[in-house]
Amino acid sequence: MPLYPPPLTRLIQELGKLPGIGPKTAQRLALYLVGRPPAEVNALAGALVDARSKLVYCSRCFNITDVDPCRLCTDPRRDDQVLCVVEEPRDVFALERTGEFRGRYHVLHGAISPMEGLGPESLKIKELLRRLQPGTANSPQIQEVILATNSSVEGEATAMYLARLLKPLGVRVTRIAYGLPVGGDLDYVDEVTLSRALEGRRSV
Amino acid sequence: MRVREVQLEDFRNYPQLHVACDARRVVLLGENGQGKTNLLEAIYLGLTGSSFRTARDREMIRWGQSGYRVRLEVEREDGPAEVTIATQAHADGGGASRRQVRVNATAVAARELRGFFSAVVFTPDTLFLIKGGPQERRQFLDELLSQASSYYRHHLQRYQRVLAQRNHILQQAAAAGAGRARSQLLETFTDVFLESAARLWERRLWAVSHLAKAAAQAYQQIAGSSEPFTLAYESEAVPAATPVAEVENSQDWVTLRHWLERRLEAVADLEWRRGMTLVGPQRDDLRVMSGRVDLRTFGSQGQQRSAVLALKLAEVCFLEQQTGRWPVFLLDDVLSELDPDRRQRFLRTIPSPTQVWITTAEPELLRTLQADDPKGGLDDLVLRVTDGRMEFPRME
Ligand SMILES: Nc1ncnc2c1ncn2[C@@H]1O[C@H](COP(=O)(O)OP(=O)(O)O)[C@@H](O)[C@H]1O
Ligand SMILES: [Mg+2]
Ligand SMILES: [Zn+2]
Repeated sequence: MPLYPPPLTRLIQELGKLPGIGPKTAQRLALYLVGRPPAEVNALAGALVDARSKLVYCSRCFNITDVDPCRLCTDPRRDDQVLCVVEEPRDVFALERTGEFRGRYHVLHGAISPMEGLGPESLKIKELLRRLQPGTANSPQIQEVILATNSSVEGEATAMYLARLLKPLGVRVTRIAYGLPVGGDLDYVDEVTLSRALEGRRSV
Repeated sequence: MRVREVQLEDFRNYPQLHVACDARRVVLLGENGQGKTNLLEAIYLGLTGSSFRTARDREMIRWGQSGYRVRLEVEREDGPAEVTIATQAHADGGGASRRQVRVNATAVAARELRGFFSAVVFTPDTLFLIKGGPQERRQFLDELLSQASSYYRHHLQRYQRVLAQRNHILQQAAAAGAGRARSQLLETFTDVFLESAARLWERRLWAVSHLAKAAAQAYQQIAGSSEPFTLAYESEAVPAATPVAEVENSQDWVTLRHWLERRLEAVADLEWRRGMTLVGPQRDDLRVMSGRVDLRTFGSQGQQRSAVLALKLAEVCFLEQQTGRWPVFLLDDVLSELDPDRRQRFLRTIPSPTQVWITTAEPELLRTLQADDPKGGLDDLVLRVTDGRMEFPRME
């Protein structure tokens, strides 16, 4: 290991804490950054500090936002009767990009995974139940909850767990269907997805 | 399917190898420790994405080198294809190696190779398929079905994951020692478990019913007897007194799910105490009988050998039925262990479109091989392997 000056070592250590960044990449990034003009590095540092200080989780839906409650929660043109439950903020952005969904959201911040010590209590499930209480002041009754957790084992389990929890409340609970991922290996996806699609067929 | 060309770089004890092998039968002749099995390993790796000897990719890199490359040219039933696998170890010697797999220059994941090619391998260890524990036979079915269908690969992966999650919940409950209680969490994961478990079960039953016919035929031919040979899927979750035929014709995973669910309820207390899942595909077995003899425990060595050969031949035929491709059949050091009659009958039972690779240390085996072959060994290629190099001995 070459001996870096302490400030550089510290930068490498901090970068190395980021997801998906190993020691090698951290080193490369650090050396790159310290080689850039100060203005450019200041802009990056400023953006980091600014984003962190101005962004919070929405107290209603738990999506990332700069105003609380977030714009998705307060937009009067959106449908209050339909609530879409997702695992992560990035899922909200993905769904919004489709422009198809006009209801409200609820972000769980994860999926149930006992092996990783993530039980239902570590997700925003209590908060979800609170939103479904009838007649809360600023939110009319929710009629339908769409479970849009991932198709992974944990996502599926989370959906089933929620379905068991929500159905007795008299709300309509639905699960999104999974289609063909674009850019996936068709040969692989086709058979699996088609069989699932066939199994999940409904009369029309 | 036929491997027409093999090219290796720094794979095991091969620094460089480039050999054409466009023959129906390829015999690798060489003393022990020269690299015969290594070559079969490279072929199997190229066709299936994994080794039959190790789960550690780096182990296959030639000692002192930083990476290997395997390239195969394969004539498939629907046209030629080229597959390459190249691994580069990390420079600092630690961590996992980086592997690149390509089919016709398109990058694919290693596990996807099974969707393009197939191979069946037979080594002296394959005998454990009969005389080993249930684990060996489950693995046989999983391997077979994974090669035949992406649907099975998908559900097998999910199943392993959900089983681990469910076991974790039970293990924690058992450790807490509070005894059985209502658990929404366990019920939820049981639901997800049942989804995948029933699908695996359905596919396994279906495979066994297909294999059974082919294996019975092969067994009688190889053993040269008319003893009836039967395969049956054994599962604790089958309700008592269900006729075997009914179980095997159960193409309906909803029924199977129901059976599994009922059986899980029956063992629930025990699961809470033991802290693990006690019913499911992870505990099933394959019964192999000749007449009334359970070959797993009471078969003679000869019977067990014939049974393994029969199962492997049935596997070859099953894969062809499912994929439309004859798998490449790799026989490592097994022919010399068979008595001449059994060997001859076995070789004649191999379907003729199958490319067969045979390794042996005994030059005499060559003569019997050629005498056995109705075509006089016209389509045989003999390669002599010496210390990671290859020669073509003159056969005249
Ligand atoms: N990663 C490796 N690098 C170099 N040589 C290896 C490696 N792995 C195994 N070998 C050598 O390969 C030889 C075994 O080859 P193998 O194909 O098993 O022999 P056989 O011809 O008996 O089937 C041994 O001599 C062993 O030392
Ligand atoms: Mg060997
Ligand atoms: Zn919000």
